[in-house]
Amino acid sequence: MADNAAAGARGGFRGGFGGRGRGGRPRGRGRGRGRGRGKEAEKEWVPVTKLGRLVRDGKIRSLEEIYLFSLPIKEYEIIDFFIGSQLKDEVLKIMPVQKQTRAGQRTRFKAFVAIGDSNGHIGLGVKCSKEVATAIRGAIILAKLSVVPVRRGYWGNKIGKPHTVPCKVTGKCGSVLVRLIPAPRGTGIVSAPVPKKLLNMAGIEDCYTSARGSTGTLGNFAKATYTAIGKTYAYLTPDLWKEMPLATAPYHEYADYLAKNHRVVGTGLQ
Amino acid sequence: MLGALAALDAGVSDVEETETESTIFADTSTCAMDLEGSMGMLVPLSFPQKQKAPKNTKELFEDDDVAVECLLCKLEFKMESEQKMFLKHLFTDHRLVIGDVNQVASLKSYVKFWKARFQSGPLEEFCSVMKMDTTPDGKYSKDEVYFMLSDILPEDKQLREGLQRKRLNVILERQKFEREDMTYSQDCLFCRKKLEGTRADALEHLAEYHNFNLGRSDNLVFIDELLEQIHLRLQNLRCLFCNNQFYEKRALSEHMRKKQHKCINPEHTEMDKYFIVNYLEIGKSWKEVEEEQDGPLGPEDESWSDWCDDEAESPLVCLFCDHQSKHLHALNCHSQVQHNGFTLDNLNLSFYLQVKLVNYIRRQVYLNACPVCNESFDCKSSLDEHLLSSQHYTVPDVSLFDQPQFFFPTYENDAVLSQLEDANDGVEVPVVPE
Repeated sequence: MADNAAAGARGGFRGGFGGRGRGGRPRGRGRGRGRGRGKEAEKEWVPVTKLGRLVRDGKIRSLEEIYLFSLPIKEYEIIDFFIGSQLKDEVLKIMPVQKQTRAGQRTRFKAFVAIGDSNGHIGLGVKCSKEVATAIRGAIILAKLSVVPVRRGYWGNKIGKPHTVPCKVTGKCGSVLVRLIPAPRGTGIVSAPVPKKLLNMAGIEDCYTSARGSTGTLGNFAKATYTAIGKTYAYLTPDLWKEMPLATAPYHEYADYLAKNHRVVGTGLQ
Repeated sequence: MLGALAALDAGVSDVEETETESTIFADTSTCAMDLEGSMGMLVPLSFPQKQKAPKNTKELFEDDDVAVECLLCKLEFKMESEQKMFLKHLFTDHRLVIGDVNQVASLKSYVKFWKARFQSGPLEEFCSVMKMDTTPDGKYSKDEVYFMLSDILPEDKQLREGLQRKRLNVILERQKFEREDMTYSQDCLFCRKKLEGTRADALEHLAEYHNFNLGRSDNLVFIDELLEQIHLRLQNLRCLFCNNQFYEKRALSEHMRKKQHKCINPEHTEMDKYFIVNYLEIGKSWKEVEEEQDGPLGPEDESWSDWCDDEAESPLVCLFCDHQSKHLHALNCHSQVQHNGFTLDNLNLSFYLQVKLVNYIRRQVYLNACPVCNESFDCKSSLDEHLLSSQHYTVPDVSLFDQPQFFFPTYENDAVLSQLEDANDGVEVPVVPE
């Protein structure tokens, strides 16, 4: 943490009040620093899944390779490794929720977080905790795990970068049905505020939406939009009809590498 | 009882809403004045939205500092600044005590509610009765009756919890603003640097460069006020942690460095109001919340359905007048009645044509021109008259609105466009995937 770093660099003069002391961790308040955007000292990532190990050792070149084989991503560091620096998270809502426990009613904070790089990736996460910061942090991790690729297309002519959804896609969550409809360049995103935020973070510039159901349930509204955005790669458009040669999955390709570097984790029995 | 609470809600929000929403069109006409009513609209128009949250703890409590009539008589007291007087009056003149009064989130709403309730029955019905052997002034007198209004009564408990939750939501609103606001600008407490950006950035600077940890910005609220308070203490050369007074700035800074007093003392309760965890539940301070286990994760913890906000949905504005509705169906009913049978329902047009139609009509109405015959009028009422008399409350000729410029929304946050029905599924869409 920065405290240790401060202890190391005590030489430099850094302005008037109190130099870099050997700050202890005060109890109660002051639990760690403000939420730093990537400035927190990175602890060494020890992957626990096969995919994690392949990613850390650089055997996988891009996130898209993982999506190509629909491999489940169980470690959020994998996402961080590829697109961590471009990802921006946004807290959609913090709300108090009541939980019934044996000791009576418990109020907790629930954080709804969306994460995206405005260039083809979007994720949603929700987490409950008794402190706001913990809930947000947990939700961000879950959002990273749920990141999906977003396919975009051009309206009419293939000039510049793709800017709209490639076809009409529909997503449903609860009673809310969200339909994303392609729009010409310059239209912007025509929708309610919540899907608008998500579509922006996904990197879609122009889109019409058509929403049905109880759109007052903003949680379901957001989830339905996310589902719809995720379907852009699920839809088989005519240009994808061409037959492609079968590629080998990373687990298969690097099976020897994985076996060679596989360390049996001891159970602690002497 | 819930009805009473709802009525109280309406009463409470009266005070909060200082800006009333004037008619939609009046507002947009003021903001669109710069366009000079020309055909080439460069800036899209928008319907106004409202928002408000207290800026600091003073404003939060100011809201409550309204003169309210006493529970049992006509005397008025200000609920915040004259609270002690009010409680004393209750005790000496009415022999009534409010249990745990400092845990009531909004004394104003609480008193208003109970004043209304007390009309419907004797005090004994709502309060616990106590017998003491003294009068309020301390003189001995056998078996004097006193009343206590506390949360033993389920109705009272529910009221208190409701008020607490309301206040928590107000606090969270303020925190949301503080989290997203990019225009924060303050001088650093310790160095000469100007802290700009978000409040989280400011706190990060303090932690990284001056080893001053206030905690994660997500756990804090009213950060401006908090930093100001700290600044004042430091200026008065008082140690933050142990309250020692120093006579020289250097002595203070050395002391804070050596003794590691560069943080907030957890025992200082006046700092509690800056940490959100203290607003979580009635009477529970952060110490108790910290000791609580988080418990096993239930299915409700991961559900998205409990985030409901019925007010967040922007209402749909009628194409021809100021009427607002929540859903397209209701809006169509309105225009069928008020606008001579016009409806957006069952038009048998593709989605794109419907979008263009709406944008076209909006544009024409804004310019006080008829959508069907394009005749121009000098004010809205003459346009309305014309539409009614010439029976032009109909869908105009397709060629009039099937123009590419009507792909773009006339009003930026036009909710009608997001509720149009998209019936045709396999219609030709000129899109090329990447």
